[in-house]
Amino acid sequence: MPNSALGVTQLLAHWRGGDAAALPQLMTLLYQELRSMAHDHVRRERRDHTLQGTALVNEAFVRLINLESVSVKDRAHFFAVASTVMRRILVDYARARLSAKRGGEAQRISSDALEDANAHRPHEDAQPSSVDDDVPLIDMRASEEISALDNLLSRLATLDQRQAQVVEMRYFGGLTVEQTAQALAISEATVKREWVAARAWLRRELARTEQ
Amino acid sequence: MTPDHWRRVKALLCDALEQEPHSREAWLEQACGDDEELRCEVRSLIAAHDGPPSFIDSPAIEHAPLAPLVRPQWIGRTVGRYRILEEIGRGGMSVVFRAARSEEQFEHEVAIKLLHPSHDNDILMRRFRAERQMLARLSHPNIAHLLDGGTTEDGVPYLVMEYIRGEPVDVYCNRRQLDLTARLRLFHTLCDAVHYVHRHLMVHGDLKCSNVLVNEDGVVKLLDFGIARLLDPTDGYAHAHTTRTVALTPESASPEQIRGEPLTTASDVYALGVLLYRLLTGQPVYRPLSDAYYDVARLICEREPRRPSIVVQDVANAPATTAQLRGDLDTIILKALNKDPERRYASVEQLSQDIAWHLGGFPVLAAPDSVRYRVRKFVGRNRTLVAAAVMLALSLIAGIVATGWQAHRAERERQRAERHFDDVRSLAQTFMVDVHDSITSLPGTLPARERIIGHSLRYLDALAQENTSDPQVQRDLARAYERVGDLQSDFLASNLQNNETAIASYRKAWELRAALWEQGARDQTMLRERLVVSLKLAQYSQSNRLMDEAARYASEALELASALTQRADATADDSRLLGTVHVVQGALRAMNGELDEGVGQINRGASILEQIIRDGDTGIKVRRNLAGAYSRSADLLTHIGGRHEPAYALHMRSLDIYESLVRDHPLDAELRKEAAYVLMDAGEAAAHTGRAAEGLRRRQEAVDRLRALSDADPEREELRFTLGWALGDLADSLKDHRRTADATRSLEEAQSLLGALSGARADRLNNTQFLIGMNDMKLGQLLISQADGASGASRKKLLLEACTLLHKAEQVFIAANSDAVLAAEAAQHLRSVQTAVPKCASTSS
Repeated sequence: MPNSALGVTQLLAHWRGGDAAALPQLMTLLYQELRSMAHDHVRRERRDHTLQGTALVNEAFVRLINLESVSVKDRAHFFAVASTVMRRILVDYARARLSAKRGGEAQRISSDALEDANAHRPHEDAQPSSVDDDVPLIDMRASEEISALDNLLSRLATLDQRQAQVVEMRYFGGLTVEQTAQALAISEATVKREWVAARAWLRRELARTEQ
Repeated sequence: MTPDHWRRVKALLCDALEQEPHSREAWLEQACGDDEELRCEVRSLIAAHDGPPSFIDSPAIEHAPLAPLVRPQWIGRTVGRYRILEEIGRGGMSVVFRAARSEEQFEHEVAIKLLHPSHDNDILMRRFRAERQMLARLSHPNIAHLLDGGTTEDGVPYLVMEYIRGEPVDVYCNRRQLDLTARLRLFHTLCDAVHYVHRHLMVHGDLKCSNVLVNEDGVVKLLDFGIARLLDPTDGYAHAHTTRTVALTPESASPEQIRGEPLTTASDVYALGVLLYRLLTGQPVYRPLSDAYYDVARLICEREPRRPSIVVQDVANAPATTAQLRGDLDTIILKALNKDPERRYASVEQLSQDIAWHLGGFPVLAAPDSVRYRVRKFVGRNRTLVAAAVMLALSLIAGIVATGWQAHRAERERQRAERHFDDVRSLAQTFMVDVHDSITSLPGTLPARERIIGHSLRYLDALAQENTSDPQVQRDLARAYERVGDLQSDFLASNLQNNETAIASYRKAWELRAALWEQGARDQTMLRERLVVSLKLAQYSQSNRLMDEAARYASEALELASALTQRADATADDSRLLGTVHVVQGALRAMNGELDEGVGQINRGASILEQIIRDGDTGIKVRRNLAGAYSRSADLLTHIGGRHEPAYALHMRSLDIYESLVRDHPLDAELRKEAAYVLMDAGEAAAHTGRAAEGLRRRQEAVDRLRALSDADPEREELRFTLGWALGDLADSLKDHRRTADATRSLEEAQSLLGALSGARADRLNNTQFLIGMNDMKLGQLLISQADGASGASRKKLLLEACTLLHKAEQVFIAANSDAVLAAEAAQHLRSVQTAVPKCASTSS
């Protein structure tokens, strides 16, 4: 059981109770939790390719929340916050990769941010290896894509906040249409429309930035 | 693009996509009209939609680079004066290294805890700083102590702590195959360390085997205050805003932690129970079916733990046998693990004591729930809470004094000590007084208040001896002494004791300020503060019969008040102080034989106060002061001059003000009390000026009001004293109305109230004894008048009784003759007693 599991449920309750300070704390906690789960996920995937990557936020939900007593509202909040946090984690990773590739002083600082946060787990691979040799090309490509998408999504948010949230949940959180609809309290048809329109816009903008 | 424009584009795009692909272009032509730009926009989006899929079509995590990258290279770097050697542990927010002092020849090893950057650095930084501050307060042989702290060149905060070469307590016990007694001894030491933490108003919050190390010498060391919390002294809980439980270990989490309630010391008691369970049985308390949150949570909240003595039956090589655990140890552990925090040990100290008693072969405190427990649970929940808060406050004060001075002496820890000094100062100024204020209005807290005052004084004295030359500190100290003096005089007044100790505190404040004044601190604030303390000294010296000193302080106060009001920046409040000084000094003069001059000065004070009210300040302070001035002057006219008519007029003015004050502040018990006093005086004045019916009415009302106040706060002696007084006054009016039986009843009630007060038993003459004497006199006079209507044996018996009472009263009045304040009144009474005594003595013999 994750170290901070009990905290997440509490913080959600506090936040629902109107305590604004609970949100940043919840995000900090989820950040650590989801990041370590993501690492587990990568490790497991190397052994067992049947696991679905999309399950991460769902898995976190099952692990971190008391399913029997959680309210529909808390559930929605959890998915919304977890998606934002996932976005942050993945973008942090991507940016760190990119700056690591560029090398130099930036490397040490950025890699700080990537440090493995697995609680209470001694580290097998404590010694650093040469950074440049370590970053596969395919990772570099994905990192650039995620970084670019993050920028575009911020732009989209200035045009349509809710639509940007739909993308965040679908793309970064890996949520289904149904889950996204519940979390945002809108119909599934609306989620689909927003998603299709946003995807068209993102594809077009991505193509433009690549040119 | 604007949000509005995008909404339009989006709607068109979605509608267009619902059209058949071949008819889209035509639909678009129509929908966009002649807005060519809009059509192009939508058209390009449709093209993107129809185009090849991109990476966004599958969730990010499926293609994101997630493998761990390189970790920061700390090993070999120098942090502060320490060279980092190896990583020895890590947690959610920090990583811990072993390090050594770089410049020393022999290696002095330390543990360095570095905060690692995360999503929200601000919060982690705050918590990291909080941990550092908390650790800095702790100095205990069984707590890993803080050596240093700082920030690396690139901004990473770190703590330097004692390095403990040891292993977790359970591993240590098992590897050495320690017997039961040795395990209990280790646990007992741990309890002492935790109790120490609690005495410093902190809860550890994460007590578990891996945070309790035992070093090579067998010394227990408690570590990791990463989630430790400061308790809120007002309610004993570690509070939600600043102290949320962010991470905890499920195995040792208590039911209340699971429920998301704030941490308390009871949570640490529970965690100690979990730890002891493991040490003695080798097993966890619960074995959840899975590590899912709800499985663990449900067990902790709902399932009773199995008895340790039963668990070990199935364990090979268990640390203890069933026979050893059955009885005391089962009971101790299960009491610590109770689901209801109130049914656990009330403190770690109690748990620790039970372990000690068990080790020594004595019976333990823990016992299965009894009827007594259930009764206690329903008795005064509030009071328990208050008492707990007070105890915490006391231990905080005591703890700070002890550790504060230790730290202060050590030169190399000067900086830390200064911070400590700040803590103590702020404690003096806010915390202690706040706690005191919050319990003052609660009945039954007098002993606690007395202890708070005692502790506060002790640490203020310790502070004062620190020889600090910082004027700011001196000012703070003076303020703290003055506030303690306030607490004392308030406490003593409600307890009817004399004010010597309060005067001593005020005098310390006075001396500190006088010294600062000499050093040139002559600003307006200092002037005002000197004035206020002189005024208080004058008042309390007077009520303590130190008339010469009172006069000296009063003339100093007048000098200061004149200087203050002559300044260009003088305020209305400064004028109010000047007015009050005139009232106090005037009263002193009147008591010293200059009645007319004194009353004249009181009137001067009153007109200053009246002017302030006319100028628009109708605050409670100035109105109260003015009413006080009228009452004072009326009182002196009555009791020294026997001039009842002008006194009546003044009392009525005072009463008017008080009635309106009570109307404006209906919840202020203090005002209600003062209003009842004034009512009493007004009744007396009415009775003395031929307004017999009014006198009876007012006195009856005063009794009713005081009785209600006293019933609401039965432990406050002052209220019972005043009620006793009012009942004696009421008896006078009843007697005037020839209601002799009622008058007797009233006096008898008064005497039984007054006789129960501590003042009645004091060695020195005081107001209580004086009042008892007056009531004895009145009772005696009543008996004489009753005897007039009787004959024979009953007449003789009444007269004999009257004689005894009058003799008692006579003794009191003779003693009071030498009392500076009571002398004049005592002389009057003595005359009437002495005329009555021969009458009954001769006829009863």
